[in-house]
Amino acid sequence: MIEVRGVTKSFGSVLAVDGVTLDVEQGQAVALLGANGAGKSTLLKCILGLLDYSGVITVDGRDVNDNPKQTKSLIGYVPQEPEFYDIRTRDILRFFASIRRVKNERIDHVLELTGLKEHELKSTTELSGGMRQRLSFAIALLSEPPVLILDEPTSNLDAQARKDFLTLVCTYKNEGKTVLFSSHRLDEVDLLADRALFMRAGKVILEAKPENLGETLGLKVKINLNMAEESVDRAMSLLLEGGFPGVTKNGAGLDVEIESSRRMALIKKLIESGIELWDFSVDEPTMEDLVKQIEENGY
Amino acid sequence: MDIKNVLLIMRKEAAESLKNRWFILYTGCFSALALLVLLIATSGTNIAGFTGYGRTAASLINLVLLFVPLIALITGGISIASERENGTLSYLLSHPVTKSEVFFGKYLGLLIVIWFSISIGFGIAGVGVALRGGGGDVTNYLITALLSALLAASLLGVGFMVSAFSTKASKAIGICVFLWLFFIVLGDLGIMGTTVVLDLGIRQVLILALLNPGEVFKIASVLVLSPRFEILGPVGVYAVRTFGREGIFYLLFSIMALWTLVPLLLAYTVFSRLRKEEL
Amino acid sequence: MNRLRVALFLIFSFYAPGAQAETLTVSIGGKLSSISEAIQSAGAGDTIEVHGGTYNEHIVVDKSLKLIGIGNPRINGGGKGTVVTIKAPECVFSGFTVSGSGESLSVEHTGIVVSDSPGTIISDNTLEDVLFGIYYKNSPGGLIENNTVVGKDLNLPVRGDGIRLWYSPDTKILANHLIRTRDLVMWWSGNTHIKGNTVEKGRYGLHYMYSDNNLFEDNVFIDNYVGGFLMYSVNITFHNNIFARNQGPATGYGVGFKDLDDITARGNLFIDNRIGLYLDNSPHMIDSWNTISDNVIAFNDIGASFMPSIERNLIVSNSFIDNTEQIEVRGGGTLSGNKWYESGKGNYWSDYVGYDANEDGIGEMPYRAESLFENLIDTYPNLRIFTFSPVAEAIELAAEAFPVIKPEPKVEDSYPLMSPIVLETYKVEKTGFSYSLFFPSLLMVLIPLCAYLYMKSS
Repeated sequence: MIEVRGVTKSFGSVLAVDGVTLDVEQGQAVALLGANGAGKSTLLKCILGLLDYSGVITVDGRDVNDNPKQTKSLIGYVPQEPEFYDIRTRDILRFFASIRRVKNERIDHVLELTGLKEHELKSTTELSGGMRQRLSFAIALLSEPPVLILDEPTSNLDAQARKDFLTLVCTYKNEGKTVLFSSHRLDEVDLLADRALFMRAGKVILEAKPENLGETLGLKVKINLNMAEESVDRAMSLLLEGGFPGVTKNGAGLDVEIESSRRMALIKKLIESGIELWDFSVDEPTMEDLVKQIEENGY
Repeated sequence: MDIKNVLLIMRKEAAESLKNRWFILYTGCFSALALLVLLIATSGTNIAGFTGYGRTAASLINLVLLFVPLIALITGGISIASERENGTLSYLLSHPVTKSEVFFGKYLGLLIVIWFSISIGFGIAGVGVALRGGGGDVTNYLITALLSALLAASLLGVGFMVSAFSTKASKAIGICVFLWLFFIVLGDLGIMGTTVVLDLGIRQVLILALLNPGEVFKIASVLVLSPRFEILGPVGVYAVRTFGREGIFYLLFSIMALWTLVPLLLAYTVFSRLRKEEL
Repeated sequence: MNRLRVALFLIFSFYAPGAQAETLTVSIGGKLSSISEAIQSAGAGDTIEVHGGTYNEHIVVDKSLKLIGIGNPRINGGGKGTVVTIKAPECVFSGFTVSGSGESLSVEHTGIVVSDSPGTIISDNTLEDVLFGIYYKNSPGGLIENNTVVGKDLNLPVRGDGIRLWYSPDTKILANHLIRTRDLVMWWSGNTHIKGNTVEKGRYGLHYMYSDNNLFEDNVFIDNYVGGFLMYSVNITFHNNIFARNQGPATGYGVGFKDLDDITARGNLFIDNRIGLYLDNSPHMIDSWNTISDNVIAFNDIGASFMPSIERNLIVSNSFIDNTEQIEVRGGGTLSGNKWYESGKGNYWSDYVGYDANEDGIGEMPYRAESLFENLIDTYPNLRIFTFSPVAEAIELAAEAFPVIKPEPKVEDSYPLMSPIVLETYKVEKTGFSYSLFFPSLLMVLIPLCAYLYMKSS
């Protein structure tokens, strides 16, 4: 669906995208990973035809530079920081619906879908960051385009909204649409992507299966265990003996660094040993951890 | 260029501006002042069947020249620069529209809004004067309104030109305010000074005056509102003698049209040549 | 007196030996069907009655006759030559329509020429399609009354004069109406009384030289290039005339005086002209004063225009109302040596901004015509192109802020009147409600509002 061939884009002397070649098949969901400044957004904008570049990009077999209108009409785009005109939510949807020659019934549909129905008469300037992101998603969905390009789509969303949003994108993906998105959250990648591409300094340096990406790359989760003070020492020795080496004391509890897949085994072990856990929390590995990991491992 | 998209963008632009507080404030001020000025200027009486037109014309022309170019220039100045600055332009262009559709849609949308404003201002003043019992030729009044609309069209184009060159709306506004001052006062002041110092001839003064769209509007309005062009002195007489009474109108309209088309096309050229990342 | 009668009797008996005055009748198909024939057969002192119908002939009246039209007979010159020529004194020509003169300016093709015929009366005639209308040459003591002259539809430079007096003093010109002719010319014709005439759409409503002691009353000069231009004469009186809408290019004077002494202009209306009143070297004799009082000078581009050396005019109790420029001094500068007030009373100036604290109708501060912009355009007429531009206002503001650049006042009236004086003869009315302005204006408000509401609702 999307073919990128040797695309290079520089801003002045800064090389933002450096000879990237990639393919996104119809119905695939592809995640672009990488730290800020890795070139993800720039690459996405090139595909949208919002930037000049060297190299070739086609969407559905059409060159982006030669047929900007056709390729743009195939794509729904959610930018990182969506900016809207100062008119009512419903009016801006109507405006883009007309631009994309979509019937007005779709407006109500996407409003329902994104939960913006109750805000439809508010001006876009009165919307919160999360609502704006949902609005741009609603706009992207208007014409049911075969391709969705999402640039850090959940960056402004709270936990619940992110969950709802991801569910929506999943449904969309399951309908056979193509999704290309950038993210720095591993859980999103896990949930959505068929493929994960890792970018650094404008290059795609790694492609991986998104499932258990963290583990594949040897990332560990950090588990914080909270228990009665008298149990701490016993629990610590139990764990050390039981093959969980990364245990450290942390006030009234323990911190354990382990592979993500072993977390349940750990909890199970403690409970079976009769240690009463008051509470526990899991710190998932972050994109920064991933970056560090990749750089340390020399990818 | 898809006309439907141009119209859509035009309509969106108009809707957005119409609910803008500044625009409503501007229309209110313009209407109130036009009404006030016309009521003061038209005495509402006649002597042996004659009514004066001079003060009415003067106050109307002055008011239009102060207000219309200011709003047209500033609106134009903000137009593209602010969209570039806050990213709405880039977002809009991620949809299937072209730059030319955006450009002309925006121009037409803003122009219509300014025309609304002028129309309401002239209308309210006209209603007030009619109720009070003011005379004057209606056709001439309407032609003056039309000339004001043309003036707005040309200076909106100039504003767009400034906007296309500017990356920041604030800078564009600054330049537009200066241009306004130049078109309305400084330019004429310059010609007057030069005339006094260098003792310029009739033809030079005429040519210099005709370079200024504000002055062109004024001369055309005076010719419309006044049955006698002599009020513009030897230069006015020379102009009418040289081009004829109708010819001078065609000339003035042509200059206004040039002042509309040239800046607009220049603005479009600059805008369409902008690199994509500059949008 | 008796001697005069005897003399007149002798003259009459010389021309009309038959002594007894007869009346001849001319009519189409009658015994006498040609006016010329009738004149030939008539004797001096006879009356010829001409009945209705068209008479295609050129008439020469060479004896003292009364020609009376009955039922509006028409004499048609067929577009050639002069139609009626009167060459005998004391003739009367009344009640005709005269039409179809030639078009030669150099030969002066005329409707009615009165040549060397003192005491001739031309009255109640209509002249149409004539180059010159009524032309008195060397014919003093005549009366021209209640005639209408409509000139040929020609360009101004090739038209002839509606009425022309040439060395014909002591004439009365009363209640005539000149339309689309060139001038009303009076040269070398003093002691004339001009009253109740209307001159419109011509070149010079009044074109006047070397004619002293004349009285102009109740005339209307409207839509001419120049209302009146008077030169080289003494003791001229203007009462209650209207000079309106005279707007010729480069001229457009309501009335202009050049080298005129002892003018009295009172109660006239100078309105909607390019220049209401123009004074050039008037008065020009060292002991002469002109009096210009109780006139209304309104809605002109320039109210009154003076050559800079003008002195010895008493200008008082006039109302200068809404002239774009109230006073012009040609070439700029200050006007001195004239009086703008008399015994504590000046003129009304619509642009006066002072106040009247003691409520005596006289402003407490003097009126000064001291606009910097006006001063500039008086000095550099080319700058008039900037009239009505905001730059003109800006310059005035600058002059207020920096009095250094404020010019000397062109005139100063120490006792400006607080309200205008308009003679009752000229009605000052409220203009009525204007439907033609109201409805288009209403539409101009409603259309955008409806469009706005439509946009908002949909």
